[in-house]
Amino acid sequence: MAGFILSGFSEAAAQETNNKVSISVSAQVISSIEMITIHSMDLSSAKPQNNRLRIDPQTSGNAGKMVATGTPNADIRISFLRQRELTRRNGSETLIFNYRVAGNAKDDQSTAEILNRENRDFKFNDKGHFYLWIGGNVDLSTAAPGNYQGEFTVDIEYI
Amino acid sequence: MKKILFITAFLLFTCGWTGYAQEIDFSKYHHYNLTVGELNNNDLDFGSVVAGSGTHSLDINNGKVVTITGVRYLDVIVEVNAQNSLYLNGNQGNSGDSQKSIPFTLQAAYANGKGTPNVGQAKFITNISNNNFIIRFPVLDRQHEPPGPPPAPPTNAFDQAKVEETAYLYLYGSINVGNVDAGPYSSQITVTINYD
Repeated sequence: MAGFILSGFSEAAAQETNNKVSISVSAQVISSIEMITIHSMDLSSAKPQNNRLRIDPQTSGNAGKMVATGTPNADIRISFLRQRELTRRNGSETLIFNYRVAGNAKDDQSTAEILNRENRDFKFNDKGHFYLWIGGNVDLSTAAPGNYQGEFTVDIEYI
Repeated sequence: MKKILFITAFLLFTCGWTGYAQEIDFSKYHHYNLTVGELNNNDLDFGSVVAGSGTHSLDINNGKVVTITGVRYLDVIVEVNAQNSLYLNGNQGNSGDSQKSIPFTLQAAYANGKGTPNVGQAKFITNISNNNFIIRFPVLDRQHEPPGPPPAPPTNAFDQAKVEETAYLYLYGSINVGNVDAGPYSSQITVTINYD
């Protein structure tokens, strides 16, 4: 009986303060970036002038073409190595290739912008695509005859 | 004589079935203020993560800190309820859709030491089940001493500011990012704090 009285009193006197906060947990998920080579740069059909072979990334049909895919409309930073060494197949002779690259969110080479070494003002289009055309020039004055191979390195990252 | 014996037996029987522990909640006899705040106003934000990149963690130093300011000798009951996933666009309708939800694991700790509690004093909360838990602790740790005597009943001259302390609740955890659709993901953690 005594227990019942104490319980009744405590309920009547209770004045609880209810404090509630709501905290948001969040993350922004972005797609991983993938690079697809549409076609490689074709040096064999280009004609050298004054011992220098040039491929204009904005106008030449011999320019290489790549497409990067990622999160639609995401800002990206693009950087690339301007010079890479080409090595003669079945030999050790080398040539220095000077790359020039043009980029465009549209699939349109003629309106693509020439890229600097590092570029921060580009973004994927609304389908998550960004197009690159790869050209450049190479001095053939001291080149030994033969087939040369090399790589092109481009980094694309979200900013 | 027969009647007396019968009554005695009945009382013994009843006592055997109604014994239970006693607990007195001193906060129930007066209205004490309890202030819940946020030390850092940011969300528990994992930032930009790449789809398929796996586990990303926010440790206790980079989590959310909730402040609990109240009467130092009273206990508080902290109830935390968090969703098990973050959902694309915060839409709970994406629950169960592995393309549109990211599993979230809540971790938590609290600090109620003397002075300004900090991460080094934090006591980790281990009874978290499905991102939910309830825990009781005093606003100010009793420093391994037994509880003091009951507080004197407050009078009109009672000044809570003189007996106030702040305890800290740390919320943090990890997400496991699978090959989900790109976009903003979010969910909510609800923290309810009352005096015991």
